[in-house]
Amino acid sequence: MVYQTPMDISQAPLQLALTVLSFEDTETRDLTDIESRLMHLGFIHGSKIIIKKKAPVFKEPILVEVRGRMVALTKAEAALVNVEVHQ
Amino acid sequence: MTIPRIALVGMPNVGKTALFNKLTGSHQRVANFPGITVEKKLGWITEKGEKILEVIDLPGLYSLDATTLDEKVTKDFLLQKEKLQSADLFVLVLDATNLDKSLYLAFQLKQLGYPLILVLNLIDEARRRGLELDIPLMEKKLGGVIIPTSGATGEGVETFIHYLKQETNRINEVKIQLPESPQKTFRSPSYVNGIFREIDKLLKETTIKTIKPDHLTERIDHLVLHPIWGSLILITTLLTIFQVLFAWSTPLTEGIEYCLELMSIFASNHISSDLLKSLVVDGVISGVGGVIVFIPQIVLLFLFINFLEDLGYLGRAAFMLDSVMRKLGLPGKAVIPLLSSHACAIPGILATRVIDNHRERLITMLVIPLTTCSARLPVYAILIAALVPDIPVAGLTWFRLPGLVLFGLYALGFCTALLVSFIFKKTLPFESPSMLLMELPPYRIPKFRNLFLGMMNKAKIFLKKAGTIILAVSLVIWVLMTFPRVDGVSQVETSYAASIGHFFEPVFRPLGFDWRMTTALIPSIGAREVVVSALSMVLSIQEGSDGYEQKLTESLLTQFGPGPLMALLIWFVFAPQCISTFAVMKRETNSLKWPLVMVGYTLALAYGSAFLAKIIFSNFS
Repeated sequence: MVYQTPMDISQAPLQLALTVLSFEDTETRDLTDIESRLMHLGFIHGSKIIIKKKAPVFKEPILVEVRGRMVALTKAEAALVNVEVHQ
Repeated sequence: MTIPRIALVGMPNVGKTALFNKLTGSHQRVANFPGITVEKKLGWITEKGEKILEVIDLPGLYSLDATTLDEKVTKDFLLQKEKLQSADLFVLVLDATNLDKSLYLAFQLKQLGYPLILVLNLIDEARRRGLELDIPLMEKKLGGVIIPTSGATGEGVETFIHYLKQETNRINEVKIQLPESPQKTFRSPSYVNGIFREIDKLLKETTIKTIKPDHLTERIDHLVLHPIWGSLILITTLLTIFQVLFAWSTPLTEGIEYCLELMSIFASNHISSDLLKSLVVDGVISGVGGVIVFIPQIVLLFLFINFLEDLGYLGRAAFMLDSVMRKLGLPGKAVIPLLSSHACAIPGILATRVIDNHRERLITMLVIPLTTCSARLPVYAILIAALVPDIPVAGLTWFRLPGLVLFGLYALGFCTALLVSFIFKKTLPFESPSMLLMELPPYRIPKFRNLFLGMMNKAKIFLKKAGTIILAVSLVIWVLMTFPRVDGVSQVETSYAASIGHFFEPVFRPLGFDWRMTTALIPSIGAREVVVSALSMVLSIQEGSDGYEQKLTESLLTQFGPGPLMALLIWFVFAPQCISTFAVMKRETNSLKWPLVMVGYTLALAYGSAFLAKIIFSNFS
């Protein structure tokens, strides 16, 4: 299966090692509170993550393993983080 | 003499509160930080019965770039915004089973120039999973002290206290060096990535044996988050909460009521003066009773909620429900308070603590009074019996109209609660962004000691803060119902309550309420169900006499008519006819504003709907 890269977490496949591409220094804008929280939880450029599960109803929240913790994200939150399949 | 204050800082889910409980035992107090709803936990370390150190358990935070109200409190403490709102010594609590994440704050504090005092908590669990660390090397690299502890077994706690005692004897003022624009720095990706790289480097150098992954949590989650098994577990859990509130607490509540009755009988037999007897029995005992009758439900509910939280299940329940609840405008965790409030709004409002986001917690609290609590049932029962003929629906003998109407009232309350929460969601100002972004902690076996302390704190706060208001209002109501006395006898018709009823009659005339109905509403401000006995009082029907219920329902219909009676029924669906709800909301929101908003909108809703009901049903007979 070929995945389009980059994609965001809400579209990414389950149980596959992914590399985070999001959140680099920019001059154009400041990060929002939600982006900052994501970043501090470990969603930051270069981090390895795995999407573990999606909740039964509406396929959200999405459960992601990042830096040794399990984090639940809504689709909207997941859409803020770009990833690519880890080579 | 002021004793040194130590602040415990750490990320959420590092076992900070368990450690706090181990340090302070029962010497603790929960209050709010001034002006906000964030919980402030204070405790004391004692030696030979004397307080030697004060410990404050600060809200968990992920980083110094605080995004939530809780995090801001801790950040302000750390950055010493105000001298009084700070501590002499900061201790950072780390999760030994996950240093990847929890060392983040250590590096942040180190950069600010804090002397690092790190507590490596959950060390027993980490060791069990095979972790071996070169702690002396880590201390050297970090330039601080590391004390391995376990809040669960108590390991290392003695060493920790000993260290604190020594350290507080030679406290030096810490000069912290803030970066030029702290907020910008703390939030810049290169800064964050830099710290992550430092953590990785440190762990590479100091780890002798890496920790084994937590397969147990993963295996349990496979079941708990499963579409079918997970849903079954969830439904069972929610039903159990319902059972706890409705069934398990009943014997305790009945026991309390029985004791109160014994006290009333004892008082009646030993007090000769009628007035004093009435004050003691109808004023004091029933007032105190009105407070402590909530305790079994509060205590049991919180024992259960704290159990689920410490176990790690609460977050999973929220995970399963979040998408559905969010469509209705509320977070997944709101299901527990909303469910609890069907037994009683008081434990329901207290249970909103499980919701992390303050705005969502507030919205949930504001709509809780609309759900059908059990105190409404006796009122509904008598009014439905008066209004609704007992006939089968759709020819089914087991499915009858009164049951359908009762279900309709439940649905009306719940649907209105959802509608109102949707409106509040659109209109209330934002404080902090509404996000889920929730960590699901590993499963852990709860410690009874922690559950017990949490439960006691809840009960204590309720008794102290809400209890006093409830008691005071009960006494005021007693005065209104008792005075002035005519020929040494109290009569409802001539009481102050009746005068107030007469006074407000014009206001309620559009609803068809006459002075007797408005008078009956007054004592039921203390507790909704009292309206039944108040109505029989104003209709001069002896309570408990032969065929009492029959007489009351007939009399209600003939005296007031179907329109006003239906208006009264609808009034009780919406009206804030409960001082305890007000008192508890005042305490939980730490303000007068929000309980007043709640009273305002529910009154408007009750008045409008009751008015419509009166018009629609006046022509029925």
